[in-house]
Amino acid sequence: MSNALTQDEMRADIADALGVTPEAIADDASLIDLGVDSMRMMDLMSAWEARQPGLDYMDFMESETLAAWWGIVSAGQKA
Amino acid sequence: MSDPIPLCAAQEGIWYAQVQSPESPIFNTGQALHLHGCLDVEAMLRAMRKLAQEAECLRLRFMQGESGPVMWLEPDGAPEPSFRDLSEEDAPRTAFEAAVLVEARTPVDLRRGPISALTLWWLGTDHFVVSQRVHHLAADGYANLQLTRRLAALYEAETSDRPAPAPFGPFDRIAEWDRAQREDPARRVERVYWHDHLADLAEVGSFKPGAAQSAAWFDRQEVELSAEMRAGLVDLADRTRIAWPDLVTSLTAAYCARSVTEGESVPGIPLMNRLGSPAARIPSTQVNVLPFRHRFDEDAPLTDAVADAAKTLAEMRRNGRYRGEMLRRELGRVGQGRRLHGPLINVLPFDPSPRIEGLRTSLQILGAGSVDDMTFAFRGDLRSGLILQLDSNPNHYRRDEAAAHLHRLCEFLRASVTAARLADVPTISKAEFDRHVHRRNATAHPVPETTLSALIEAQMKRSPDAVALRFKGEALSYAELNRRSAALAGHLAARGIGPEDRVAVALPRSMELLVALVGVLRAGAAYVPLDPEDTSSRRTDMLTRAEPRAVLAAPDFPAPPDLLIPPQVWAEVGGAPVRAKPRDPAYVLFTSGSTGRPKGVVVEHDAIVNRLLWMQSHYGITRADRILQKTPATFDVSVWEFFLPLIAGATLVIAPPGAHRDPRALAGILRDEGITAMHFVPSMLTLFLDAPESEGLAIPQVFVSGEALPSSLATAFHSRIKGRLHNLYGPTEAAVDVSYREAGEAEEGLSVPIGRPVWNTRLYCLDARKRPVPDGVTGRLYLAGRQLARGYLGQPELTEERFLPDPFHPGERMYDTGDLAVATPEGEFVFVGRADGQVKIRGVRVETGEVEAALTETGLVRQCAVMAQDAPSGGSRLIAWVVPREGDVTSDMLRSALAQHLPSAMVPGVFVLLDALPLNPSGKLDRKALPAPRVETFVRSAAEGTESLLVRLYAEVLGLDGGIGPETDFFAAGGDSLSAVRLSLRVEEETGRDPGLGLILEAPVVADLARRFDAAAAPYEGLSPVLHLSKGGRAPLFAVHPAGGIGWCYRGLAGALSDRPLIALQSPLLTPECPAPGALGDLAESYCDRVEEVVPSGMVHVAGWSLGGLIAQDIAVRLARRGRSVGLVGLLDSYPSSCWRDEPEPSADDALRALLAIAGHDPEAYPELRGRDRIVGFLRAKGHALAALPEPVLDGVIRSVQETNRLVRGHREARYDGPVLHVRAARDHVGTALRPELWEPFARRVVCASLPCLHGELLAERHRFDLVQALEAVMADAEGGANSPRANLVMSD
Repeated sequence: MSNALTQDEMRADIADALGVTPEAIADDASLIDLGVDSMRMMDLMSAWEARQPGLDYMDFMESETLAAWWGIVSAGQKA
Repeated sequence: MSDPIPLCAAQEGIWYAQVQSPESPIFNTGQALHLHGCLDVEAMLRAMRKLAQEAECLRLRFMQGESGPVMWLEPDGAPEPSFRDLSEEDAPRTAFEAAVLVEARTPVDLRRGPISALTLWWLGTDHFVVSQRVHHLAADGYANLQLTRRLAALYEAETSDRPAPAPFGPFDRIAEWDRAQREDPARRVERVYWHDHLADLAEVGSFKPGAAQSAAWFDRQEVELSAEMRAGLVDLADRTRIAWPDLVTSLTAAYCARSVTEGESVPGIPLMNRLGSPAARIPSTQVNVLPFRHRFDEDAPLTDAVADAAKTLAEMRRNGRYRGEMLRRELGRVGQGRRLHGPLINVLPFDPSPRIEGLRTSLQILGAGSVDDMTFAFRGDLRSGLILQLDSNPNHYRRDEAAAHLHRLCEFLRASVTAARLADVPTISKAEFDRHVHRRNATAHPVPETTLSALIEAQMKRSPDAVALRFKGEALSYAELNRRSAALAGHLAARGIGPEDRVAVALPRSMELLVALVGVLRAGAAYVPLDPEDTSSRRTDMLTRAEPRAVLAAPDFPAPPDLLIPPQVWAEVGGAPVRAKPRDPAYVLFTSGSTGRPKGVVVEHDAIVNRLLWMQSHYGITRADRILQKTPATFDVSVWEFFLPLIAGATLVIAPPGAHRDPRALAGILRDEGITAMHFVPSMLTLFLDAPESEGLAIPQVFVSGEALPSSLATAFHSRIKGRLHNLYGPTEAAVDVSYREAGEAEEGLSVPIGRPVWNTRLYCLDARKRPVPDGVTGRLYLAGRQLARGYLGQPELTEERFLPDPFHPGERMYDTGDLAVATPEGEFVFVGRADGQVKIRGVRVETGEVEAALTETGLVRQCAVMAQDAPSGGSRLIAWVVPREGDVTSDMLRSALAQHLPSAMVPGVFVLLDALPLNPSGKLDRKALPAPRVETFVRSAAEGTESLLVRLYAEVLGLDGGIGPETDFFAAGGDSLSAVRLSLRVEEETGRDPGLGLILEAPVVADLARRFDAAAAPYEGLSPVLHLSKGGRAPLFAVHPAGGIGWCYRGLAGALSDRPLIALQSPLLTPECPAPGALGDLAESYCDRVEEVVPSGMVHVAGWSLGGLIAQDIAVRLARRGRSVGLVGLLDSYPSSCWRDEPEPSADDALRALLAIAGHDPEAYPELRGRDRIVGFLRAKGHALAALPEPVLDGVIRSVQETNRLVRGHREARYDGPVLHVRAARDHVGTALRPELWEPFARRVVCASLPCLHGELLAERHRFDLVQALEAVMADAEGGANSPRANLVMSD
């Protein structure tokens, strides 16, 4: 999977949606506290799903950290 | 969860809204999934059944429990999916749309259920639809999406060998989560954010005043944004580096801010509120609508402005778990009309349609909860397509109004993507602009370029024998009017009076008045009407400023004798030789200025000719008409009353003086004279219709203007009078009226529209940046066209301020009325109020007009007026003056009736019940004459003397046994103008002095009246040329007044001196009749005489603060020349005349502000105090005696300031051959050239002292000790040196 989604790409996408620098998105920070909301998550998620079909938005919605989201994505990549 | 549990936070608001209208289906949410292709119907029905079982929320039930609403899961309550075959219908799609809407709009029994439904529809061949309907208590928009996606997954599992992903979680967890959320400490932090962010939130407004309850369904309209527009938005999002959903939300909010009619624009933003929550996996209702409060900086670069708004949005999301319902409760924004937010903005940036193998899917959103106002929803994205959907509340918006918003928002977005600043984005569309600015103002009509006098002359020649005037039963023919007015015109012309000259006319209603007006016009001059009964200084001021070349008035009229031409001496024969030209002034009318000083409006012939010919044509005025003249000539309505009949050959019937205020007399004249056209101010019409005599009268045409015409009054008119009612609108600045509208008997809205523009006239309704506002949005009304006045007499700055360049017709002008209006979609204007009628009560913006309207709506009152006044406790309070419809109406009844319609801040704190509202001479409500309310909270017994006397006389005149105290208001306690006359007679009997009716009207409260009456007893006592402020045996100190002429400022200093008389010298200029001295030396010389009168021999000290020091120095020079021994020469922060020579002349306003300094307040600290009323009001509030000075004395002070400044400028100091003491206000004069050394050329020696204060504080108590020390040191030294310690004093008191 040469075109596989990486954690840093996800971080950059989140930072872009929030208008902050990627460094501001710590792995374990609450994305809600950083200004992500359900709608923004859905927006991010639909872009990621285009890269990696089969992602379940409910899994993403349940958690609120980049680490958890990366966990979902990386698990999907291993499967 | 089969046992009932309390509702979650998100459900409570929905529950209470639903309970209010249990039959409304508005809370049914739902969507329809369209499926095209080869559907396995059985598999789909199985999937639907599974979904119905799995999604527990679908079998929720609700009821009111003992301690609040509760919910439970009904064990067998899941909906049974149904199948409906529409394939045999002629138009299956149409049939489906209708049927699904019927299903969606089925009211739900929340207790018994079902609360949800699932239906599979067959529309023919390969088109199927699955519709779902769930009550909003169980699901929101996101939950609906979850359900649809889950259905797709279940169907795919049914039709393939792939298992469905993990099922929904149990609903129990939602309730647990909700409890945990409420208790989470994070809520406290969020709460602080929101309370801080929403501090001082004004009333939240929307696109239309008022708030309607959600209807049973909403109106939906949508447009698809073009690819070009999407590209523009993508570009702007890239440039601003903010996410496009935030960009679109921000621009929509900026649009809302433009279109809000009143109050603050605060859109609501629904947050899905799922992230990090078990609701991510469990359908439920979670949506949280929060207020998006942001003030857009329209002048900033647009990219910065939206980036700034995006920051606010991000903040909001970070605090997005705090419930909006909670905020509403905490901020008291619950209930009708008390909103937390206006329209909703919802951006849904993802494709909601689930993917199903082998099928093409599309999703149709049916409903997402109530629509109280409007909801703007953007569905889709900028790449593949974006739909802007507008749901509106049909109880509040008509469909065309909503459509207009949809269209305007699109244009707003389109213009925004290329605009440099938000300020450059127009609010309205190009088509609207064309309609508002041009088509509605297409009033061009040929009107000859002529003059009023030419039109009258032509008519007089056409019908010489017809009756022109009737007055008290006598008649004057046109021929006679022609002869007499020509003779007077000749008389005036013989005195060199002609075009561009002004002639004052101050005659009561009479034949002579008409001869005078026509005569002046025929001489080519402009007439300036003055009220013959008004003897106030206001009229004197107007007369002075009019600079008339002649005054036509009774022989005893106070005018310069060389100008006065009483009717007795008017020429009887002669011709009118001079003709005015169309652009010459025809009349000058003085109208009230906001600063309190009347301004003279100069109206040219061309303007009034347009107005009169329009009226003659529009209302078909002919020789058969008999028009009543009852408006005083000083009001512009009189202009058409006078001249419309005279240009039409009709008969002008002059009402006897006073008759216009007496409904009975008026009714008599109308019947006896067969009046066919006349005018009323609405409040006077109310009184007239209330009089029994008006019943059944026939008046073919009645015109009203001057105030908003209440619809109820129009109805009352038509039920009583046979005739047509015409509502006219216009300021004096635009030749009487500029718009018109006939008023029917059943008008919508609170007041009758002011209608459309007359011939050759344009009306613009603009925002603060002079951009046209949309229909329905309140704007400021501007007028343009032929009727505009030339401007204000002798006030070019004011003219420039109010007559602005017309932005839509280069080279032309438009007049700023200061009136607020809205346009209806039909293009009629409705008067809303004054731009300055807005007040703030406890932080809430209140239009007093709105409170008045609400009072009227209670049905308890006949007339009312509401104003804001300073509350004794600080801030403002609303006071309502009310004329009750029935006798037994009480304040409490009014208060509780209003509380149902208005937020508490808008309910007046005080009600004053009256028999009638006071009217001014033109019949308009006289707000200034409204009696002050009784103060109920503070009761003290009357002081001895005048107060006690007045308490006794109030009780006697009003027939009250007791209950009168110092705070009793004569009128609030039942007095009227008749009893006020009696009171004034009784006071005169008891004291030998007439308080004057005017004083009682001005100060009807016992304590005020007592103070004013006592002050008037010795009006000039404190203003005598010599004021002894302290006594003592040592050499006296003469203290010279500063610029204002009054020496009261030395009172404190006098008290601090020990055994030394301080005698203040006050200016003779305070006495109005005293001529101004030619030079400062003359003034000083006269002061020396006074010094010598008071102290014939021995040493004297002189000092003066400010400009008083200059005079003191000159007095010292002159006393020394007279051989008197002068000790101290004290220059209290004074600087020589050279410093002032090049300063600008103080204006009357600057001079007025000197009063503040005289009263011991630093004028610089109160820049907002401008104009006499405000300054005097401030001083009165501070309890300063200056406020009680009679008008002429205040004039004297102003005169003194101006004259003293003039004298100082012309003054050249002589050298004083002795030492002077300069006391410097050390904190002042930084960066100026004002230094004590400037005195060195004018004294033998300058001794310097300084106090750490500002100029205005030098005499203040804080620095008094040091000042006295400095002065005493020099005085004692001088007395010791001169060896004459004791002065031989002659004291007059």
